[in-house]
Amino acid sequence: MIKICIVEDEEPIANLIRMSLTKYGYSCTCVYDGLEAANLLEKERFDLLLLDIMLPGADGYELLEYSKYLDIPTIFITAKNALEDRVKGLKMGAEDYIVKPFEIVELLARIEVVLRRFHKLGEKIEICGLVIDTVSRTVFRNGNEIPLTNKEYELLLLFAGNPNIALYRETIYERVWGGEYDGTSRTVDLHVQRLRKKVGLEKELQSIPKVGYRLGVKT
Amino acid sequence: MRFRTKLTIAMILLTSVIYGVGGAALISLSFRGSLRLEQSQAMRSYRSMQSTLILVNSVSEQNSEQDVADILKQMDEQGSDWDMLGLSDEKGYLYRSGDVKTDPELKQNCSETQCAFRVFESSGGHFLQITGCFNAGESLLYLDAVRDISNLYTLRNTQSRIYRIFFIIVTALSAVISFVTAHFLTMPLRHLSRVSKKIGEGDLTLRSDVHSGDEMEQLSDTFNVMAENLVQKIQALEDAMEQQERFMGSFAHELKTPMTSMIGYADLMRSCDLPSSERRECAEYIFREGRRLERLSLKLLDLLVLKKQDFELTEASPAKLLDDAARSVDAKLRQNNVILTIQSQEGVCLLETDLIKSLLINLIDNSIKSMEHGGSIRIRQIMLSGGGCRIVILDNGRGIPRDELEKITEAFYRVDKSRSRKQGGAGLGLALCAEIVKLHNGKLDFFSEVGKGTLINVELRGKKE
Repeated sequence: MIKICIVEDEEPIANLIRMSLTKYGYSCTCVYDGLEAANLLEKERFDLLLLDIMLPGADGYELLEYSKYLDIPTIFITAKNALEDRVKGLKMGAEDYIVKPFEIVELLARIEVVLRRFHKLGEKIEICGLVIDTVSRTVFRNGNEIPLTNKEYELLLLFAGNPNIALYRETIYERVWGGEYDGTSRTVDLHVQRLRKKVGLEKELQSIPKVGYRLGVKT
Repeated sequence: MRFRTKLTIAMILLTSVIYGVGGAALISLSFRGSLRLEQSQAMRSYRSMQSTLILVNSVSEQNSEQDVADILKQMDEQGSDWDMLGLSDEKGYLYRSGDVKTDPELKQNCSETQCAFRVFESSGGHFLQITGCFNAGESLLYLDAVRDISNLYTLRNTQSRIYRIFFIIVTALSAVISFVTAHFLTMPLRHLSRVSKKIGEGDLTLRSDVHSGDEMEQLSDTFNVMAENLVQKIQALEDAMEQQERFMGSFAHELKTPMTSMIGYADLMRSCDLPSSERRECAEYIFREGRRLERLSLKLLDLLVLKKQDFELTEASPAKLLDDAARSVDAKLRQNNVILTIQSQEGVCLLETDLIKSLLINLIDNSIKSMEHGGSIRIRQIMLSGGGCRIVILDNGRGIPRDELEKITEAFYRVDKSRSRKQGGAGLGLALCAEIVKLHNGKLDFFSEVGKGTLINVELRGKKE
């Protein structure tokens, strides 16, 4: 079970992150104060630290140094989108940063990338009879490799990472293709149709009218 | 052309023109005077000679022309002051010494009573010729007398030559002296020019140092005043810009945080199948953060409107406003176990009633927030001589640390972020109060000790000038 420590003094946001991450199967602890956080990090082992820079009681950057010293990968959350603040955080050893306001799906994706980088996540994802090897970026069903294009692979990864979550077309477009979603584009639908057929997920990969798609996984 | 050069050239021109024209005029006048003198003296001499001849003729019995000629010859040989003489009649010369030439014009212009003269030049010299006529017997005789006046001309030329040399010396001297004088006179100008160039290049602390005791010094002083003013203005502008940036930064932050919550919880609700308890929790958060955003935007609007508008001040009783404010916060006081006592003085002064009520409620509210387990707030209000009133609010809450005291009226500033947020504050209350006090041309001061309490001194003096 992956343990994530959330250090954020805004209670609504801390709670939001906790709720979302728990849905994904991560175990979360919320701390609202810098000093408390330092003590907690020392006592318990965490796999990832989500750190808000503007904290009472301690300087977020100081905590960053401390977590680096403890070898805990850190993603910092900041409301300031200024280049200097982002660069400073990254230079001080954070793995990544996310700027408020953010969408949960983006936070989750970044968390996943960092965890994978540190080999905390399994390299293979098994879902709905498929085995996805994230290192070689290949997909197997029953030992047989299914050739997928780059976009199809990314699309499958996105659904696999968000089981039972309704993904809106805009979200899918932004995460896989990047850029802003133009409301009339049929790119997403075309690719999802092709993907379903290729990997045999016609039943599980459901279309939600007026919204998008959802990979239904039995828990 | 540089000013110094202009000045130098002007001075040289002045001296040389005056000297040149003056000198030339002097020499010319002197020469003409000498010439006239010579002419009148020659005329006198001529007349005396002519009258002698006429007299001799009239006395002589024979009345012959030749006699006159002989007399003339004798006079000439005895030594006259004439260089050439000539006596002639219609036919020709009766007597002639030297190379006298009769001038027809002179012959025409002369008569028995009047003689004519001319000045002519011949073989390098200048001569004065006088011609007159008189009757001797039956014929008309012409007497020509010529005198050499070359020395007059020579003198004049010598004078001119000497003067020219002096002119050159004087001009050269005046050039040097003019230049030096101009250089010294324009020194303050060069100094000022150098200083302003350096200031233009960025050295804002430099000032001009001129003590010439004249308009240059004045110019230098006014220049310094101007530089000082500019430096201050620049500083004020930079400060204002910094303040503006800080305000925008804080405002953006205050806005983004509730928005993140609202968007996040809404996204969660639409993407997942949540159990109803969790769905309610999400909705709860959305609602709370929404309200928070609402409070923030209303307070911000107030602040902005306050800064832009002109408010009408009317005669009102501060004591009455205090009473109204107290009544508004009554419920909150009881809820938090806070005792409020008011000591007021009757009187009226110029106030904006709504704003002042807002101010009082804000300050009392802050005091209540500083007390966790109840406490007391004492308010004292007095009228001030010269118009206006003073209100002092004293509480025994947790107090404000000394190094934060000067920042508390800044927009969005909070001493303790987390608690303030829990209490629903936006950090704008005191910024609003500061604006309201400014509108009343007043003062707002805070005195506090951590653990003991806070004292707020409000002075209101009527309309802002």
